[in-house]
Amino acid sequence: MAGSMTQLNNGITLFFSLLVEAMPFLLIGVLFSSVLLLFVDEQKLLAIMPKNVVLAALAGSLIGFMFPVCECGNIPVARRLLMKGAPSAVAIGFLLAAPTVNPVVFWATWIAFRDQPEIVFLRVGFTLIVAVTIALIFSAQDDMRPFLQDNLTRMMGEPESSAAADPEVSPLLKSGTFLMQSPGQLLQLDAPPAQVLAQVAVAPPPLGTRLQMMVDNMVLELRELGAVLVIGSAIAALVQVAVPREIILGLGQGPVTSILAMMALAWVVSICSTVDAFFALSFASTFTSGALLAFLVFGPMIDLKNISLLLTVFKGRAIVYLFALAAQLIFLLTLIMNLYTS
Amino acid sequence: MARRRSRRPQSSRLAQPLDRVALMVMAGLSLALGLLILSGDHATARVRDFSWQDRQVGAEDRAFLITFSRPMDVASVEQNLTADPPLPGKVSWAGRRMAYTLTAPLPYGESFTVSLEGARDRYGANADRPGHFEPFEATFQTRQRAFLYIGTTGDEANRLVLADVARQERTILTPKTLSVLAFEPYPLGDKVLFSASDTSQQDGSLLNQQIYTVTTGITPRPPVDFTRDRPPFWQQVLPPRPPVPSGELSLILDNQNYQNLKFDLSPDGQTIVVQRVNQQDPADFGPWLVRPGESPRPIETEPGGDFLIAPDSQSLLLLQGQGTAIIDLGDDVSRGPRQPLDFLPNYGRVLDMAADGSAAAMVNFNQDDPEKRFTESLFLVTNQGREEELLQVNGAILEAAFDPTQPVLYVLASELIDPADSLEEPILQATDAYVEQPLLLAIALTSGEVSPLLRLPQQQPIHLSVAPDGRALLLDLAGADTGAGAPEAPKIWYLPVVHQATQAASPAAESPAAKSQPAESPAAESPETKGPGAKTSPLESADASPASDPAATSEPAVTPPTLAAPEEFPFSGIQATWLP
Repeated sequence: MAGSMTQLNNGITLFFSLLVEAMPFLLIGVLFSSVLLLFVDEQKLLAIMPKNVVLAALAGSLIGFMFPVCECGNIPVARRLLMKGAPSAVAIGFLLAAPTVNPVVFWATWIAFRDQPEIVFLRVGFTLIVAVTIALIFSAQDDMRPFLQDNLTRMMGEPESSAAADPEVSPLLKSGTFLMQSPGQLLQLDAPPAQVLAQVAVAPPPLGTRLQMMVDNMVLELRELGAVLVIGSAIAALVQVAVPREIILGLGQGPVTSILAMMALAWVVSICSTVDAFFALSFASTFTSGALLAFLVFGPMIDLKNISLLLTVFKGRAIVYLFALAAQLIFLLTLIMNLYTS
Repeated sequence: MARRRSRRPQSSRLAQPLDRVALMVMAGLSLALGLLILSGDHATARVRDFSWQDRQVGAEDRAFLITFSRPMDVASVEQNLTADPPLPGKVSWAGRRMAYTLTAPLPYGESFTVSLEGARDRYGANADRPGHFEPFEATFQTRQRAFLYIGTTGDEANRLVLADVARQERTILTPKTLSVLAFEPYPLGDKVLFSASDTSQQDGSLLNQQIYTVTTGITPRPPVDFTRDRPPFWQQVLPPRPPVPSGELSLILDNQNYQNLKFDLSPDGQTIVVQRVNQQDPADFGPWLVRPGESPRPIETEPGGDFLIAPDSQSLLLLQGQGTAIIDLGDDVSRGPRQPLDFLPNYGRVLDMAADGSAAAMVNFNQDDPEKRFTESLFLVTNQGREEELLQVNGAILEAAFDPTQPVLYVLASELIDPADSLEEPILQATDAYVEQPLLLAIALTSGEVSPLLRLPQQQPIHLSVAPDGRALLLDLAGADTGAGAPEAPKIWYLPVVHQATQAASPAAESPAAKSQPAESPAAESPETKGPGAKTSPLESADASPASDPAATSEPAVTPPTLAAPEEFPFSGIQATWLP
């Protein structure tokens, strides 16, 4: 009885510490995202995308520097990019790299691993390698529609027409009630005024209104992502209480198994990329740099929490490819690191 | 999951280009991974970082860190870690970092080698295979054993001199035109703050002293303080500054409008407090605050007398009226007069404070107690509010200094004695009934035990300085009055300290001799009997005894230390003070 009370106490402590740690980062992310929603024209952003596939994949991976979102926030943006007719290399690169390759995560990792600066740079480097490679593999497919969910493909329309579509066609970011205005153009009824206006307005509203809408959008996104964060923190706390660290340590005794253990941990814990560096830091004492990097690179790409979000965009087959390729590439890179350097 | 998917037959559903490319890449990666795992572990564990690597450590540095490249087998590291000379200490681990905390302060002027061979990483230890470990060896040094004094004879007269004990070198730091009055070394020993009057000027009198710094030519290489923030990245990349030659002078505070009377340098080297008086208006008198990059400004408080900056460098102990006020030296000092943080009414003098700020040695002149009149008491006042009388003398308490490494206080005090009672020949013609006999005492602060170390000749002033590693004292005595003409030049004595705990390990026969001999030595031996040959040897023989004791690991000494044979330096000077 006393033991379970202690466990409950530990769990609550862990839960709140994760939450408190993550909240400021989430707030920054929401602020940036709202600014971008209302003050940056995505069309112009897409127009400057390079045509070369490799460069496009790299550019997509680096968009994160302008959209500092964690893995909870990047899926809607990637979806919007796909629907806007962006090359799949750009969208996949962004999807996989943006949660890691962005200033907030870079800074947080730097704070956590200040005495091992190579972890910070290798995290970014490995993420870029993996994201660009997978983006190139996905660009083998010119027409992504067989791998996207049906409702998404319906909204995109024919590939030719989607490329030449009216630039005012707005992305559909969230589930909700929709109004079909014209073929391929939808209006979400329960969206906040900011997003509705951003979708329908031809001329941008005055600055005061836009600021007001930005605040509204921030509140909305904070509520939405905050809920995800609370659940994520709860899962992380639960896993750490229910699965004692000894079990994970037992999995990861060797240079090979430690990587697998940390990847499994990253997948289960689903911790937000803005704070996972601090989480990983608590394992820095017992795991190799390679295993830590596997956690830090794999966690933000694919985890338990965002598989459900990914299912709103991709069909299962594509998610399996994403998951398997990412896991294998990261395993390969960190294994080389563990076995040959150290 | 990937395997299951890839084992599926290639149906028409998987005919998309992405399916083919993805499955091919996944198969290739699986193959590469399999080969990689079969090839085995080729990594070599190594030491990533040693926090004292090629650094110069001082008495305040008590722990170093070794960071490994991967998690290590703790036992294999602890068993194989060696140091030459041995470093007694304790090991603690935080992940891949090992902290080694020394139990005894290191002797100055030595070089240490730390090496580690045959350690294993944690994976190797579990798999029972020979671990790969890159043998590690690093060296670090302790700071020089050196002291400063103001010369009195020949070329050195009134100039600041740096004496290196190990190399037996002396360097004159200040120019001939400056007559040095007082000085204080900076915490790393790279600079000295001093006050001097310019004898080349018309008004080069003692009252016109200005405050300068001069470089010693020592380039400090302190270990990185891992409790503080790291320096910015660009500072780590930039090459270190070239060493500064000795004798580079810079003026800190001039004497325009104000006379500088006394100064103190804070232990962190960032704050100087100077007692100044307006040349036109003697009522405009009080302490000023001088900080680098700021213009000097007066501290708005009641005028006071003697003062001392506390070890935290944030507060000033200032004699005011009949007691000692503690004044905050924080940032808003200039905002109007401030109330003291605390006031200790009974104590008319603060002699020294322990380096950790936990206790101060203060003098009570016993003005309130008629029975104790004409006596002085030495009190230990702790920051817990405890006040303990350590010593009461009917003469005067001249100086006190905490041992930086042991709970021991060294005291210079004088007792009134009747020369007729003294066993010695009366040195002064006894026109007065009593003379003051100065004594050097050591007080063990844990037990309060007082042990007299030396009876000193009856010449004053006497100055005492405790070495930063606690292994020697410096004592300078005014020269004996020969009766005919000028007095002898002042002498500097080197007194090696033998702590009881360490003495147990050294040959037992030495201890009574060591105790009895020095009690007479400086007084009995007249300076004339010392030949020049005898004067050069003392440094080595004195140096050997404290450095050779390996037993510093035992319990801290509760009994006061004793002195080994004192030695006299072959030069004369005053205010001999160890470099920190």
